[in-house]
Amino acid sequence: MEGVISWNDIVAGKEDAFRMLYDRYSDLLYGYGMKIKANETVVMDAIQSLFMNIFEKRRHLAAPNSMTAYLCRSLKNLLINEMQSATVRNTCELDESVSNNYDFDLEVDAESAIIANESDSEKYRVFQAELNKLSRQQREMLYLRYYKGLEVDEIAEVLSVSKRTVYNTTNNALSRLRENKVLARYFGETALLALLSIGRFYVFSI
Amino acid sequence: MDIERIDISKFPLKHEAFVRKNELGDKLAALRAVRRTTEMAAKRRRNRAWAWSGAGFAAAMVAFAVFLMQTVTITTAHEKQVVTLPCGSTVTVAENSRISYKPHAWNLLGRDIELDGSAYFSVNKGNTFTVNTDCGNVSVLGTEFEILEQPNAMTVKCHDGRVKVTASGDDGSSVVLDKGECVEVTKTEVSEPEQIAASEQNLSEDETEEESRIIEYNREPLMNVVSEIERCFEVTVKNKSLCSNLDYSGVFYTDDMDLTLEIVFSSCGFDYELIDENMIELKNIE
Repeated sequence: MEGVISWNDIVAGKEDAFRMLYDRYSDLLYGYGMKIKANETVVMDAIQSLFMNIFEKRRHLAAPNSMTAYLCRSLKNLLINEMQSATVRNTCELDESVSNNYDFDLEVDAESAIIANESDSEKYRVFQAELNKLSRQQREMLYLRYYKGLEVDEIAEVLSVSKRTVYNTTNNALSRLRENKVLARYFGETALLALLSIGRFYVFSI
Repeated sequence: MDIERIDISKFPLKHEAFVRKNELGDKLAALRAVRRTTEMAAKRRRNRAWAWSGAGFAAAMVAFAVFLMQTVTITTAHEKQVVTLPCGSTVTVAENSRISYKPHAWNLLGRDIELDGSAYFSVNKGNTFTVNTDCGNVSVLGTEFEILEQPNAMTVKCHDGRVKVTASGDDGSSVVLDKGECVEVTKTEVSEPEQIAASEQNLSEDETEEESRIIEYNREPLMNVVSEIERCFEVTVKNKSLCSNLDYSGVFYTDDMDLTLEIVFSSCGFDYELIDENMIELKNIE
C-alpha cells in the first residue's frame, strides 16, 4: 500500500502525491494524536504543521523506512513540544518530565456500539477498567498494534524502544486482560491460542 | 513469531473519527499552493541575483582591464627629464621627446615602452625591456643604452650590457649590440654595428670640463680615431688606409689639434704633414 506513494514524487513536490499522503494517513494520525492530547484544535494544528514541514523540507528529507512510523513519531514529537511550550507559558516553570507526561487514555465508546443487553454493557465497563489499570506504554502499544495495525518494528520505532520490549510489554498487557474473568469469557476460544503463543514467546526469549 | 491475536479492537474507542479531515486537507492544499508561489519567486530572485553578480564580475573585469591598460605619457619640451619606471629602471628623456608606458601592467604584462624622440635608458635586470619606436624595437634584459631618433631613422647606442635592435619593417632585420657599440636603424634595415665615437661615451654622465676635453682610448681601431680627428677638427686625412689593422691606446685632446696629431700619429709610427687648413697627409716614417 505504501509503495503507491512515490517518495520521489514527494521530493519533487507533486500535488497528487501530497494529497494521497494526507488521505491515507490523516485518519491514523488524528486518532493517535487525540490519545496523546485530547484537543481537536491542537491535534489538527499539529497534523497541519507535520504535513507542511514535509512539504517545505522535502528536498532535505531522507526516504523513511516506514512512512507510518515516521509520521506517527513526528506527530507525537510535535504534540509533546506543543504541550511543553504550553506548560512553560502557563506555569512559567520548566517541567522536564512533561515529555513523558501524557496519559494516553483510551476511552471505550460504549455509546457508538450496539449494546444488546446488560452483560454487553458490563463487558464495556470492565474492559475500560482493565485498560485504565494498564501502564501508559502498554495502552499505547496495544492501541498502535490492534487499533492502528502497526507492525512490531514500526511500534518500536515510534516509541524508541527495542522490538523485544514491544513483544514483552504487549504480551504482558494481553495476559492481564485475559486474567479478568468477564473478559476471558468474552475472548472465549482465542484464549487457548493466546496461551500457546505466549509459551512460544518465552522459549524465544530464553 | 508474532504477538497473540486477540481482537480487542471490537471495543470501539472515542476520538477516532476525523470529522474535519477534508477541511484540513483543503487548507493544506491551499497552503502548499501559496508556498509553491513563494518558492518560485525566491528561485527567480536567486536567478536574478546570479545574473547581477555575473554582471558585477564582468564589470569588475572590464574595470581591471582599463586599469591595466592605463597609459602614462611624458612629453618633454626644452629640458630633459628623468623618469623612474615601476621596476626601478630610469629613463632620461631628451628634449622634445615623448615616452609612454603602462605602469599597472608593467610587472604583469611585460616592460614595454613607446618612444618618440631620444632617450637614455638605464634598465634594471628583470623581464625583457622593450622600447618601441617608429623605426624598430630595442629589447634588453638589463643594461644602459640610448636611442636618438632622426626622421625615418634612429641611432641606438649600447653603453652597457647587450641590446637587440629590430627594424620595424615586415621583414625587419635585427642585430645585437655589445657594450660600446652603436647602430643606425631605418624602418627596413639595421646597419652594421660600429663603435660609439669615444667622445660620446658616457654622454649622459655629468662630466667635468677637463674630462670632456680629454678622451681616453684603449685599443681602439686607429681608423675610428682618425674618423674622430676628421670629425672633431673638421679636416680630411689623406692616406688613411695606412691606419687599417692598427689599434690606438692613449689620449685625444678635443681642443688641441696639433697636440693630438703629434700624440696619435707619432705613437703609431707615422709622419704627417699639414697640407692646408683642412688637409692632412699621412706618411710612413722613412
